[in-house]
Amino acid sequence: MIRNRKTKKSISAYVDSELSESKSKEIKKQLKESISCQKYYKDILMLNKILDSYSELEFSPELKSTILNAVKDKVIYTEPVSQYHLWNRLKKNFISLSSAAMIFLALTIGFFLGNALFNNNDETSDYFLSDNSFYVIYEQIIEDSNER
Amino acid sequence: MLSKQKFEEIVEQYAKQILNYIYKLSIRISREDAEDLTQQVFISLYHHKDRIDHTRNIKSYIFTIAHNKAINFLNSRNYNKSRLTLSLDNHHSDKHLQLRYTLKDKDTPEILFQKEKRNTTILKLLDELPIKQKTAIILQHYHNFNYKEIAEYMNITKSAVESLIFRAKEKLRKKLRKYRQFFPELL
Repeated sequence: MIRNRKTKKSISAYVDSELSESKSKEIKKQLKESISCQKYYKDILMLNKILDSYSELEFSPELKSTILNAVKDKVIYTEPVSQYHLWNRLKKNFISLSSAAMIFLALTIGFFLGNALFNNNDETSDYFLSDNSFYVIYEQIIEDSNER
Repeated sequence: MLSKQKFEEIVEQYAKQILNYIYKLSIRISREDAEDLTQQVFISLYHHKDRIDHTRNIKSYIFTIAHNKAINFLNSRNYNKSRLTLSLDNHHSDKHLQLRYTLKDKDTPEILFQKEKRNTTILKLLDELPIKQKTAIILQHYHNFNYKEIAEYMNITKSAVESLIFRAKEKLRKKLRKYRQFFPELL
């Protein structure tokens, strides 16, 4: 078993081909002579092999076009959302979106109700205006004042 | 100054690498989050295109943006421990599994399951490393950075990188023993 931490460190760097030529020669010699060094060397090789066996994520072409489109249109996103994930975002914000929709609906109904009431008032005033009695009284007052 | 054509070439060349780098940085980052962050990295790169110094290593520059975006993202979220432990299972049970691999004819569901188990274990092992060791190992193993490039990227000396990678490998080597069942080559 290798007790020397420095030797282990050098073997690790040797496996990564990061040692100088002279240092590499030194390690090669040690590997030939020491069984524990050979074991450690094999362990590191195996670890590298396992790490290298990790399968990378495949890149979706959608994402590439989303990036290029965002840049092409010079759209400044504070938090870019691809269409791909838009539905998930909508689901997460369901409560706030539904509250906003309710407020909008209430305002719209309020607006139409208000309008209807306002129109009723107009009709009332039209009714008074179309009533002759008002003009008759008014003309009588004018005539009376002229006679005087 | 970065031309539009050059920018498109950079997206072509690095987008997959950046997506995978961000994804591997933490098991708390889902595939969807990694995709959103990758998008932000390139938009950020484009916005700073006039300030990019061509004498500097563009690869290192993009990875720096990606690293910062990922760390900010992780710091901005208050994950609780239960989500952290659960996330490992959720991390890879995503519905885009078919996109994770280049499927081959011989890939049966069993082979895919084994691959998935191996991948999840590797990610779990990497996630248990301190951030500096993890960054160094990920850059060296999956993004072809040599020690000198890692040193420049992390703003440390080459011998410090050597120590980081050595310590990371020592930890990984010891921890791997617990997961022998997923790695028949260790038996």
